[in-house]
Amino acid sequence: MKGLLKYLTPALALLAFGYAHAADHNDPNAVNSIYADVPVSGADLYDIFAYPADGADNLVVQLTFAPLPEAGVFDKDLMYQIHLDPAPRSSDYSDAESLEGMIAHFEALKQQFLNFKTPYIKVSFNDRNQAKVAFIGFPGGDFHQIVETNQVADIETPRGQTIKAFLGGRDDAFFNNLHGFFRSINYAPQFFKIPAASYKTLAELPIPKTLLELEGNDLFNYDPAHPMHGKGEKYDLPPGPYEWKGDRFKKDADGNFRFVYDGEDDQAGRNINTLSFEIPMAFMTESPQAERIVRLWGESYVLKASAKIAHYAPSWWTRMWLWIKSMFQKELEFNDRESDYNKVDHDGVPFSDAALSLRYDDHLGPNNLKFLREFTIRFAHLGWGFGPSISALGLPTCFDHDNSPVSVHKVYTLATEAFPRVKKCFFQKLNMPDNSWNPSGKDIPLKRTFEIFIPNLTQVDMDTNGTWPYGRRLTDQVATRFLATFLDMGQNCGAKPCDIETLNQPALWESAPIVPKTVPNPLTNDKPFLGEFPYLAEPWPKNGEYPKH
Amino acid sequence: MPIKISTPWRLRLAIIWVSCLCLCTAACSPHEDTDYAKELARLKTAIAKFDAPASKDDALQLVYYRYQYASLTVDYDDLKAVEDAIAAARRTYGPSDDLYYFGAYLDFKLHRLQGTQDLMAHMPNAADSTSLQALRADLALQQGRYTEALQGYEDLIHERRTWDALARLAYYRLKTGQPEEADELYRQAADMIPAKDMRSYAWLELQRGLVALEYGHYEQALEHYRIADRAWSGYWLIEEHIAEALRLTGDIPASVALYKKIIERTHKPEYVTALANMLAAEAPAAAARLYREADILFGRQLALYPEAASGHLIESLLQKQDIDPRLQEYAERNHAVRPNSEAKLLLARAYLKLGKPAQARALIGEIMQTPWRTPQLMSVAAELGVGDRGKT
Repeated sequence: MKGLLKYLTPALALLAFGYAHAADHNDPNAVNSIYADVPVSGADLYDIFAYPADGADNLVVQLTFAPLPEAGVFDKDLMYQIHLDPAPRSSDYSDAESLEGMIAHFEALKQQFLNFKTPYIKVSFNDRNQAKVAFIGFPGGDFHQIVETNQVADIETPRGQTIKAFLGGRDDAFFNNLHGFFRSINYAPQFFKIPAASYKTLAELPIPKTLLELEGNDLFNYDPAHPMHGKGEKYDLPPGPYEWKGDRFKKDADGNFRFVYDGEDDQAGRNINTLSFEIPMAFMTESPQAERIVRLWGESYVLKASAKIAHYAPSWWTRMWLWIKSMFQKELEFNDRESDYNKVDHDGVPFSDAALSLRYDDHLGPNNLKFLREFTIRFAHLGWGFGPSISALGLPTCFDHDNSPVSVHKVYTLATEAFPRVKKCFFQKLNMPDNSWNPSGKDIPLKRTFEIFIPNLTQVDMDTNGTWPYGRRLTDQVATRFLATFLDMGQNCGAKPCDIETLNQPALWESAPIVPKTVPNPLTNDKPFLGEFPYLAEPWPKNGEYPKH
Repeated sequence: MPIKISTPWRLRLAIIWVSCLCLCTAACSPHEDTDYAKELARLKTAIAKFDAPASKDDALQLVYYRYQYASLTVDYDDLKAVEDAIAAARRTYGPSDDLYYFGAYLDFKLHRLQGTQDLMAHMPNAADSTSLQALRADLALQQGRYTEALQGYEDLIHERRTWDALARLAYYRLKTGQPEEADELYRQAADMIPAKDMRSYAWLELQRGLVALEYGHYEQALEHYRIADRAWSGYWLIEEHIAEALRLTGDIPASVALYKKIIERTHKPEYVTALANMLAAEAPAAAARLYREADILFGRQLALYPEAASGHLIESLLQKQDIDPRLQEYAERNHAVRPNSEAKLLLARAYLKLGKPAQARALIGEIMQTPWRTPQLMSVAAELGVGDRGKT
């Protein structure tokens, strides 16, 4: 049979309708199940948490991802890696505060990155839900251990150190008002049935980004008649055009703005699967005293069909032989040959992909230095939305929006044109609310915004307590801290200088002309964290009662 | 001295022994629980669930599952069921992008190219989506606008390098005389397929087999088809290609046996004709009976979807030794619906069979003005004395 029918049959885009619950904030579109036709995948990485352990010079690193087939059960067609690279702390940025200076700074960093071969942990699974944990490239030499899942395991290293491991199902430690964030960027797939094929044109609609609802923005403004719109309910997208024609923020009869956030935890009651480790610094580096920064990121991989064919479809006799062999050599039950896998997702900086990379699949990986110009343009685009909202609330912003009274939808094509707008935001030092982040008392420079997003990895400073942006602790409300990067840290927010926790203070919102009077995102997780490893709370029971939110 | 075997080892050996017995039994018994059968069963269950849709979403689900089902069986009654489901959903819930989308793809599947074009015009929201970009390029290819099709495929890959975009370009390369490039693109596409999607992987292996077959590498084609069959078992489309390759490699008994098995399951007239062609010399009476059966089956298909059925019918009529009086009419109608090089070549071959070489030559000359280059085209062109770029 030659012809069209055969050509088209499997190439048809799969369309699945109905609601697929929102994935996290940090996916490439390939696994972005916010789209109506992208199924939830265990390759969808949610978060990477990393911070110094209490009482020992150990790093805790916790990669979380979609719990498929279910919490505590792993898919043997998936493989995960956590890359860990200890390095000395860099000195404070001292180049020119210009686009050229920033580019030169990153060019130098790129040279370092070109030889960026990091040690990593590789985890694969067998049919019996056991995990093979391989440590590759660390100073003590490569080794592996097969561990049971859903329990804490001690892994002995060749040098006699002990690494704690927990691979299993847990409560999702991400507490976030996800739909509020998507409302703030007019992200249609959260509210309407949008296929992934429309990711470039119908994802973020051409409406100003904003923290305050816009008068007449009927597609995204909260509708009391449909309170679940965007919180599980999706509708057909009405015909365009979608440009916003208004000229002011929406206000109620009492003169209050309407907040795009409502502070509820959209992730409450959800589980994840995690790969959690507590690793001695002395295992990761020969110089644990000098190398106090650990640069890290996580990756997910999907087994290729072509790799499976050898195991899946050889003759009966070959299959039987392989099976018999596997009874005597347990390692054969695991396939962790890297050439048999395709990389799918990457998790480095929280919010980087959603906020700056637009989730493009080709933006994967820690080496995002080449996107510097693109990020400048994107940050300016966000600034034209968030900057005026912040000003309208009476707070100082670092973004130069020419005193615009309302958010503006502006898309730049040239980074040089966008840069002057964002310069202050990029180079300002991010104030911390107090000194608790630096228990060592060492002279550790405050972070600048641009240093956080490039390269796309989490950098844990082992001399701090690891709170974001010096790592990422389970208790950090990173989404609200990201919004704080648009505040002017050189000015006061109330009685004291603005800091990364300013927008996380209930008192600020209580006194603001806004409803609902809430912090943007929840202050704490839906379940208390544990006091000991693996720290993440026990998973919610299957079909159990979840907290109302 | 007797060998001592510890209890865990005894247990292992016992398990091995029992497993060997089980595996041998399984290997020797007919394997009915194929991937294809399981997928059809899954889709049937889903269709039954939504068969009396109570909401717009349910109606769309029904269309979706019916479409998936028909895409697998390519049975005209199943395709009609998709069309009916779309019409019912539109009547009850009004038009929507989703329904236009399915309608456009269904029309395209049925070679109703004008219908596809009309329905696409109703989807301004989705006009820039990659799926409609792909459909536009496919449409250009089917309408013989090759430069536009190529540009469309390259744009798609530039936008998002997905396996189906690569496969589309591969098909273009195959049909424009670049089999090595086509095979490489299919290989790259196959490399992107995850282990959870063995069906797509099998389909790409099938395509690689087609590339080899088209250029006369029958053993290589058979190898690809066998891999496809192992990757996704029980699929008649793959089995039919195995049967075809077996015929071409000279294993006629195996080919005949396989064709009979496939015909029993699918009742597709083109396969009935293929079997009849093989039996024509040895068993003319059986062949004649099969030709009559094929004719009835083609008649049913033509009554339902003439545009879709005509391509296979023309090919079947061309392969028969005697001349069917309807051949010219069908080939001309097919060319009018799809004025592309493939249809032109079919029409040219029809003219040639009907003793009208001048008309055939003119058509081959037209094809030579396009990038379309296949071994069959070059063979017909040589027979007619038509050189490349339309030079006689």
